[in-house]
Order: sequence, then C-alpha cells, then structure tokens
Amino acid sequence: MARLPNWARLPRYSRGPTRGLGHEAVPEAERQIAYEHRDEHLQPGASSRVQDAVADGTIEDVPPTEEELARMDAALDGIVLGSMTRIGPGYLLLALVLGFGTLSLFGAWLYQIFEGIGVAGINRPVFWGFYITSFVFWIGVSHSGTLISAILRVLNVEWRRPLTRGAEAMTLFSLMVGALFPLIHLGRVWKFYFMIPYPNVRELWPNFHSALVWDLVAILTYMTSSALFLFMPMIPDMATARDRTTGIRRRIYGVLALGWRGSQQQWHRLHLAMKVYTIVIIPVAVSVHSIVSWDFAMTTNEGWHSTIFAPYFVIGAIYSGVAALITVLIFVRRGLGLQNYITKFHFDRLGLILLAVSVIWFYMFFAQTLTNWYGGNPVDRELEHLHIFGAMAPLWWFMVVVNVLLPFFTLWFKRVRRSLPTMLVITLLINMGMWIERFLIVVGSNVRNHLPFDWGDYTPALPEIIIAAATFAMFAFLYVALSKALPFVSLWEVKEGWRLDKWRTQGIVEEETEPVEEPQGVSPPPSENRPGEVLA
Amino acid sequence: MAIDLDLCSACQACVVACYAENNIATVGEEQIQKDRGLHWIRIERYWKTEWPQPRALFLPLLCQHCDRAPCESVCPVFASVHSDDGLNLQVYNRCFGTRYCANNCPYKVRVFNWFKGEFPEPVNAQLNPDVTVRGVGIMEKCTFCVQRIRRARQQARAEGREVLEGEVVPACVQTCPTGALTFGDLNDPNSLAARLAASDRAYHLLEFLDTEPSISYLKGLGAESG
Amino acid sequence: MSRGVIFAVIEGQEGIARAMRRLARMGVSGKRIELLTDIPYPPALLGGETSDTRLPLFTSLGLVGGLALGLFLSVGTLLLYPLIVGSQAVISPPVFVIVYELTILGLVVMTFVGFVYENRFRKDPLHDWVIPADIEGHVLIVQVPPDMVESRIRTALSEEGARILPIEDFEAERPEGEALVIERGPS
Repeated sequence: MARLPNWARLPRYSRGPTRGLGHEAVPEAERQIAYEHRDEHLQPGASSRVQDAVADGTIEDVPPTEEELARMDAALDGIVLGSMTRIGPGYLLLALVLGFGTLSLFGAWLYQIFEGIGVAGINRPVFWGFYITSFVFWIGVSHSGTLISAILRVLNVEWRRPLTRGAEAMTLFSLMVGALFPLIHLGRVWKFYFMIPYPNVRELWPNFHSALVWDLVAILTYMTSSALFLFMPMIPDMATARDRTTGIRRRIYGVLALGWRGSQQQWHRLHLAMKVYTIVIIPVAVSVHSIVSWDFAMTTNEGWHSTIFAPYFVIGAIYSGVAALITVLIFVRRGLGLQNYITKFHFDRLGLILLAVSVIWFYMFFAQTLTNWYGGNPVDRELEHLHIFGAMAPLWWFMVVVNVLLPFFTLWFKRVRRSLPTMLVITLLINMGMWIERFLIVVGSNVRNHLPFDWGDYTPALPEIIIAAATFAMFAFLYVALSKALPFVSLWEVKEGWRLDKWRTQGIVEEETEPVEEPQGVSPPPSENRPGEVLA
Repeated sequence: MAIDLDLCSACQACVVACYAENNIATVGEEQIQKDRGLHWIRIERYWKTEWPQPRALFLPLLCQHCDRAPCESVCPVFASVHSDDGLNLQVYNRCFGTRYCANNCPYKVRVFNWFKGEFPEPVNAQLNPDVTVRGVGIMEKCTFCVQRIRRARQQARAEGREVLEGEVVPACVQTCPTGALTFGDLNDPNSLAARLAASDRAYHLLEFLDTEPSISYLKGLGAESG
Repeated sequence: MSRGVIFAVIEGQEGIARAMRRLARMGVSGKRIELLTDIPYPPALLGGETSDTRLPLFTSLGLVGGLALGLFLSVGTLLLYPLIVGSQAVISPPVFVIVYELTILGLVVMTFVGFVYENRFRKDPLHDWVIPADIEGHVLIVQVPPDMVESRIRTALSEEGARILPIEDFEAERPEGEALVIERGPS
C-alpha cells in the first residue's frame, strides 16, 4: 500500500479511541443530562432557574473533572463526526430534491441567456426587479455569520462557541448565492469580465467611480475573508476528522488539515491569525452592505436618494441575518442531532439579539419615512401614497406588521424565545418581510419618477420567479451537501470553552508538589476532587 | 439643441426619422405594452384639460446630453462617457447591460435591448451603414446623430475649415415640419441654437436636479401658454 | 542510544501543565519543546513562553500590497487613461472605498498565506518527526539542550507523570504491548 506523504501522516493528537467515533462509550441518558446541564450552568449568564439553584446551593458550580471532560470530548466528537459519516435515505432524498432545485436555477438562467434578458419582467423605467432584490436580500443574510463569529468573539461571549461554524458557513453560502445575481441580471453576461481590472489592448479599466465596481471589490473581499475565516479555525477539526476516519476521507481531510500537528507554536499562530481576522472582518461586513446600499443611494431616484441608506441597510442585514441564522440553526440542530450543544439557551439569547436589532431597524425605517414625508417632494409623496394606500399597500403593511410589530410583541417573552416552532415561524415571517422590504425599495421606488408619462409597473415573469425561489434551494443544498464534509460545530472551540471556566478560576493544576511562583491568573486549587456524579 | 414647444405639433415625424436613421429595431405591440419601446426620441403627452375640452401638452424628449450626466459616473465599465464636443457617448461594444445608467437617468431617455432586434423584410434594406446595429443586452439612446457630426467634422478637416453653422443636421431636426428643433454649436454665440438657448423663453427640463442638460426648451407667448 | 530527543506521552491537562512548568523551571527553552494538544492551552498556564512567529510580517506585507493595488486601480488607471464621467474629479471619495477594501483583502489573504507557510514550511523545533497515529494522550517532544544531561530531563518528566517512549531507528512491525517505534522522517 502506498505511503501517505510525510505531512499527511502526522500524529493524531486528539484523545479517544482510534477506531470508531467514541460516543458509544457514554450512555445515552448520561450524555443528555450531563451536556445540556453543563452547557447551561457554565455559561456566564446562565438561565435564571439554574442561577437560582446555584445561589441556593442545590447545584454546585464546580467545573467538570478530567474524566468528565474526557467523556464530554468523546461525545462531542462522536456526535459531530458521526453525523458526517452517516448517510441515510432521508438525507439522500433531501439532497436530491434540493439538487433539483439548484439545477432549475441554472436551467432558468441558461434559458434567459439564450433567449435574451427580456424573458424577465423588467422594463423601462423598472430596470431592476427580482434579481437585484434577491441580491440585496442574500448579501443581507450573509451578515449573520460575521455577527456571531466575529462580534461575539471579540466581546468574549462564551455561548457563541457551538454556533460559530454553522453561522460562518451560512455567511459563505449566502454570499455564494447572492454573488450570482450581479451576473444573472446582466444583459450580456458573457462580457462580465469587462468589470474585472486587467490590462488590455484598449487600455480600458473599470470605472471605479461606479458603485457596482465597489460592489465587486467589497463582495470579493468579504467572500474571501469569510471563506478563510471559515476554513482557518476548521483546520484543527480537519485534523481531528483525519485522525478518526479511514480511507478516502482520511486522505482528503489530511490534505485539508494543511499540516496541522497541534503544537503550541501552531496554536499560537492560529490565535494571532484569528485575532487579525476577527477584528478586520467586522468593518468589512459593515462596508459591504453599505456599498450595496450605495448602489441605490448614489442615484438621482427620489426613492433611493437617501443618506440613511448605508446604516439602514446594514441594520437590515443584521436583522435578516440573525433571523435566518435562527431558522437555519433550528434545522441544523435537528438534522445533525446537535440538541445537546445548540440548546434553547442559545435561541433565547439569539432571540434577544433579534429583538434589539428589530427595534433599531424600526428606528431607521421610521426616521427615513418621517423625513421623506415631511419634505413634501412630489415624487416622495407619490411613492408614499403608492406604498401605504395604493397598489403596493398589501406588501407594505405585511412588512410593517411582520418586521415591526411581530418581534416587538413576541420576543420579549422568554417562553416564546425558548419555543423552537414559534421561533421558526417568527423568523421565517421576518425574512419574508425583509425580502418584501428590499422589493419595495428596489422596484417600489423605480415605478415613480419626475416625469409622470414615464411611470411604470412591474410584473415578475416566470424565469425570475424560478431563479429567485431556486436560490433558497441552492442555499439549502450547499448546507446539506457540505454537512457531510465539514463539521458544523467547532470542536476545539467548544472543548476549549468547557475548560475555560476552570482555567479562569482555578488554573490547571490541582496540587503542587513543590512551592513555586504561580504565573498570573492562577489561584490555589480546591483540596478535593468532585466525584464524577452527574446532576439531576 | 433648442426645442420650441410652441411649434411642436406632436406629429411624431422626428420619432420615425430617428428610427430610420439609427437602425432602431421595432419591438412589436406586445413589448410596447410592457413599456419596452426603443424610442430614442419620444413625444410625451400630458393632458392639460379633460373631456369635453381635452387639451394636451407635448414634450419631445430625447437624451439631454447633460454636462453633469448622472448616467456616466455609474456605468461600471465606462460604456457611457463624455466627449470633447459635449456629447454623452454610449459605447455599444463595451456595454454589458447592468442598466445602472438607465436607473440614474432622471429623464428616462435610455432604452435597453431586451431581445435581439429584428429587421424583417423590407426594413433591413434601409439600414444605415454608418450606424451599428445593436445586439441583445445593450443600452442605447439618442446620440445627436453622432455619425452625421463626425462626417461633417471629417469633411471640414479634409477641406481645411471649421464646421459651418447648419452643416450638422440630426435626423429629427431635418424632418421636423414646423422647425421646432434647432441644432447647433452652443459655444458659438452667433449660432441660432446658442441664441435660442439664451432667450427669455428658454428653460431646462428638471433644472433643479442640476444635470446641466444641453437641450433648452422654449415656451411662452404662444397659444398654449398661461 | 541518545539522539538528544525525548518523546513523552502525557495524560490530562494537569499533567501537561506540570511537565511544562517543570521543564521551564529546569531552564529548557521553549524553542526546544514541542507539545501537541487537541485544544489550545493558554500559554500562561503552561509556563508562560510563547513562540516567535513571522505572521505579523506577512500581514503587513499584505496590507502594503493591498494599499498599493487599491491606489493603482483607483487613481493610477484614471491617470493613465483619463475618462471623465459626470464631471467628477479623479481623486475623490470612491478612491477611499477601493483602497479600503483592497487593503483589507491583501491583509486577509497574506495572513492566511503566512499561516499556511509557517505551518508547512517553517521548521518548528522538531518539525520533521513523524509519529504514529495510535498514541493515546498528548505528545511532548523535547530536544535536550547541549548543556544538560538527558537522563535528568527523563527523570523530571517521569516524576510529573509523563510516559517516556524509547526511540528505535528502524521501521518495524510493532508487536502488541511492546515499545512504540518512532521514525525520523525526511528532513
């Protein structure tokens, strides 16, 4: 048998049995109680019930012992890696259906390329329709990952640990889907390369004064940063997967692990690189959606020409991103069996973030509406009338009810936030509302302008509807397909999180054999170990 | 250019002439109903009074060739640029159809080729060889008959002189039966177009947007004023 | 037979901390120690020494490169072929947007390149040792400093609970229960 190259035969450093995935060693019942409970009461800001119990002394707030940690590690590895290797008929059916949806997207697109862009419903003056609406929507959804991964990481919020990988994957996939639309809506897509700066005979370069070129550069930067931000912390998990699998998977993960050994020097480098990325990707995310908003704000159209667009769109992006993240996590949790790691506590917290963002979004929306109305510009007045009382009123009112009233009157209540079916419905409605909001901005402002003879309307045509709908299938397909290749929980970060509590309060070493100077941040350990009992 | 709204009778001869001169494809009734006409110049009709005394106001609208054209800065590939003579140029082979320029034109004079243009017999026999026939996915608009301008300048350079007043006549100006359209050199204070642009009756369309269009509309002291 | 390299296997996070601190107290420099773990341990808890890395250099290179590319594209190309659009000046706010984005792109890409480069191509203290995959526990590799006796380090590590592995310099089948074989890979 051929030998693997040197760097692929690097050691398995993670603990646990060589063969098999480990979770069979831990009884089911014990796993359930231990991990859900442990996650809950070790988070800063644990649920009030548990906090009360800790205060009463009925639960001892003691970090897990070495043995418990070993079992928790093994269970986590087993569940996550196990879901990656199990392929059942249900999964195949799902992948098939979604794959068909993705193919229909490309089929409709090819039809449009051959027949001409006129098969879509756009016209003069409504030159942008469903495609640009979907573009803005998907770029908006992509802000979820940045919020969870980067902002919560910078703020040292510990409960983000099981969520980061799934959120970052969501960012990358929605960016991949969204970045198709600037190509789909082109009249001559085969000349798309004109927009790429390359030296040519005619000495022509793209027009860097145009917001579409800023789009290109910003989305390129954001997509690259997100992809690397997803991939780099995944390298240690790739190494774990390499060590636990066999055959072709082992070789592929070995390649993807990029020579990871787990040495302290490598961890130090990873931390440095992650620090750079975390800090840098937050302004990139803010700038990306600002630039997308400037596609509209840089025009003379009265409905678009608003200085609030940049922050308005960024908040809208975070809003639809967090809502989409909750939706996706509900499905991922069920599909991959991660109930122990993505708990109701997480949805509670995400729901609170969603509530806060919805209030800020409403503030921006109201500020814009108020200013437009007060100015009395005839085109603005006409647009308002159209939106609030006219033909577009059903859409506008649906958006207002679902994006403003619904979160405000439901997400205050912990029972609502902890009920996953309710959260699923709420977040789906919110995203529908946000899609409609984008539609009202893109199409709903183009239908009216300064010359009433040139007012128009818009009816979406079948290719547009198919493409806009099929992008959801493509997004889900990417998620479903890659769930068998990539671990959707960040294994090392969750394990690190379990140990952090103890490191911060007690240090690593339980007993000292000789008196030494303690390094900073380590306090004397307790004198006895807690037995490996689980809490009921 | 100067357009005298008191002389315009909305006969649409300029529209037809423009179609003939610039190889504009007819799109058919169904596409026209979807607002996809390819008129480079159109006569806008606004009702001043209703039935039983209907009175309409007519506004011939073509590309204003703005000095501060909003359509130029937003094209990602420089398909819409400004020439030295003050024309707003559309470069057909560079345009790849983002339609951003059309969104930014406040006059909505830019039209888009949604499909490949068809020239059924015998229309294809009268295609103008001086003008490109555009394919699908390309933006187009009035060019002030740039082919005629270029031809006049080449002729003048060959003969070693300047372009004379009245030598360049776009198709719409040539065809207008009432003489409502006047074309000339706005930098030459003696030309008819410059004198009309400086008259009391002259105004710019959507002047408050500050796009500084090259076309002056003349109105007032006529039967429709007041 | 001593090659000046000690291989040890350690169980548990306390064992790691004890061994690392003992080595630090004995004066073995961090550059001679390689500890392989599955999760990152804070360096402060392990004796406090972090490694040197050239990653900031890569990051700065990326920043400068991105800045240069951004300035060239947004200012340079317009100076090379001036196309005036909408009467807008050449040096204007759009320059800032392009420069900002491309600087960050350069920074991000070069950080990753530096990360991969350092992991794959830079010689960490004991980079070229290949260790079989079925060892249970954390692996600690110590290169004995020239001024120390190897047995002293072995004894110290054993006291702190590490299990020392013998080195054989040939590749052979490993019968069950016998000493593990560790081979030296190509340099």
